[in-house]
Amino acid sequence: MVLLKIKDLKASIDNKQILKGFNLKVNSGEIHAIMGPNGTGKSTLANVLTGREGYKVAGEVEFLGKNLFDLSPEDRAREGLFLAFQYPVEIAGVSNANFMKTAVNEVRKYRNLEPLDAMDFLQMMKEKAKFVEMDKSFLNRSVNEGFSGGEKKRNEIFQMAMLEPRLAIMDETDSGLDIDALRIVSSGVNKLRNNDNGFVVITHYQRLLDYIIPDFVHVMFDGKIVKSGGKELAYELEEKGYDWIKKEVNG
Amino acid sequence: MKYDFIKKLKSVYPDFGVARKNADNLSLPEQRRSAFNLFTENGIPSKKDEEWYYADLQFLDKYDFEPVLEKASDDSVDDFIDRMKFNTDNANYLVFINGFFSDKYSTVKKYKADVYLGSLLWAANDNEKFSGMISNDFAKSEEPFVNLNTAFSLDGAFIYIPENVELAASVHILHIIDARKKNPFVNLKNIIIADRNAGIKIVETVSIIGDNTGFVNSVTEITAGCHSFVNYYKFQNESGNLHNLNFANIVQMDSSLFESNVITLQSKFVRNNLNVVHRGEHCETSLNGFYFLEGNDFVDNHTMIDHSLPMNNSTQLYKGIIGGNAIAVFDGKVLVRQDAQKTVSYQSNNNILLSDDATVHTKPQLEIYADDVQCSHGATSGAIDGEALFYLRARSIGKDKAVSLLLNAFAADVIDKITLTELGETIKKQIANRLGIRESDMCRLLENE
Repeated sequence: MVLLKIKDLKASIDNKQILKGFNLKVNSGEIHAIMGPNGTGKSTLANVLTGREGYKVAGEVEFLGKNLFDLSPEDRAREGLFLAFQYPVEIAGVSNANFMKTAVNEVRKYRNLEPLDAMDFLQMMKEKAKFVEMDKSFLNRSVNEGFSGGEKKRNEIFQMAMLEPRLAIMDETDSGLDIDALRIVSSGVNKLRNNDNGFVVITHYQRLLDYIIPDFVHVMFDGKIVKSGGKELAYELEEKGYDWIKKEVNG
Repeated sequence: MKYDFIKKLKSVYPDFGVARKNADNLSLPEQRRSAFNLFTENGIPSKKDEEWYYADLQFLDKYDFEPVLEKASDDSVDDFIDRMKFNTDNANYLVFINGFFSDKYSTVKKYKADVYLGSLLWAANDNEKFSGMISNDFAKSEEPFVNLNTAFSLDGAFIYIPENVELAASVHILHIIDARKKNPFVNLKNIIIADRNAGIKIVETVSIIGDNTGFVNSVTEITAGCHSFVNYYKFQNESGNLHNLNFANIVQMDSSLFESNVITLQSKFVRNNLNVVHRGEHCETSLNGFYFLEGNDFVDNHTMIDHSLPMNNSTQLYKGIIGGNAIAVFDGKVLVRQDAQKTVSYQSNNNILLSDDATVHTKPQLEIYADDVQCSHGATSGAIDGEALFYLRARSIGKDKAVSLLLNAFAADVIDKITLTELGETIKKQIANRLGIRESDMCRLLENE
């Protein structure tokens, strides 16, 4: 099944063109890695897909058969789109537990399901917390407030586990992670992976892809995909850097 | 101008003076007359007076206010009082109707003889020791409305907590302004004294009954003795036509703790003044406030902390959410005098504006004359944090609900400073209700596991 279909996506911010005709198709069960040097529009892609304000967009994006641009950010999330933020936001005064309870019940409401009662929810939360080796005390703390870089990223994966998205976009989830956190984060993702969902993993480096094995690797440069291949492409990039791609493109 | 407030006062004052002449220990003709003259000579403060720049006092001449000068019967306010009470049995209630103590509605627990919770007028007349303390507090002031209060006030709460006594139950002072027949003008005076090593938690609420307009002018004198603590909370949640001016003067002795929290959830017009003076060292002063305004609400918070002696700490945190056409004012002064070395003082005022027509005037002021101190102050005002809002929405939480969650969280750190559970819980519930938050609290569930 096709989860996401992006056709000739263009996006600009403050009159600066960032995405210049981006194309991608993600089927269920697939993991796509998007790699590329800094400033090529990887994060803009994530922002535009999840509905962050401030971008002027053109082109077509279908998510589960619906026009993504017709949907508000919250409705995109309720349909099953998830963004693991590069810089998770700290929200003082809102606990992780209450945040997730509200979020999960909003999704359930959207799908005409009864809200989960508190005890069931608690059970679910504790199970998912184990996924990312999060202590119970984590749940009572304010969302990301005072969390280390690693804790913040683990919290993103915890939220992903709670919301069970159809398509998760991971924006530089590996940045700022030590080796242990990287292992925890990727093992969380691997446990969540199944034949119905898909992942778009945005990363600058190949090291995350040692843990989360992609089916496809795309190289992004100057606002679009310039080269696609299998996981071996990631190794090639690691070895040779991005310069040869730039040369090929500018060729 | 429809009526003349001062003219009206001048017409009733001589009769009041005659009637009060030698009536009891609160006759105080000299003090009252000189305070009254001072008030009438200077007149009602106007925009030219910096302290009153944002508070429009024209309402004084807009209604035919009737000064309440004697006690009326305390009739039929039962239901009303029940609504004002919090959900606890562990409290003393001092109820005042139009400024006069209501024996009928007040309930005070049994304490040892020298604890006094009750009427100022009764205390002045029944107890010589108290009588002296009380009449000393009727003095001329630089504050016009304190002078007006000195001229007319007769009753209010008198609270005396003797040495080494800490009241486990809180004291709730409930003032009911009865505007069912007239437009009452009520002067009331509270005196609160915590002696050496004593402790007390007080909540004060002023509420109006009836459709007319009420004006209350209240003065509270608080003394926190050595090593004592006084927690003083004001809970303002009044949708009626009440104009509320109140002034609290706090004197702190060595190693005392004074903590206040002024919560305004609704108010047509309220002015809160808190003036703190340290008369000792190692004092802790913590002034907090939260306001959540809509419609045409108006709240004007003024604080003044006078650090005159060394080694005292003060912190101030005022936060507010302002919507509709509402106006909030925060005017906070910290004065650190030359002798007040090793002072630590922090002040901050943060505001979220919900609409284009909502206004906040914030003026944090720090005046330092000592060189070895740690002080900071700051103020912010703006819309809700867009990054946080997007984060919540990206997790499927609708925009309105996301805003509610963020506003609730914004309020939480001030409300959490309230150590009186019944008050804190009530306020949290009311804020959550207003924001439409109905989710059960997972944190409590997790803690109880």
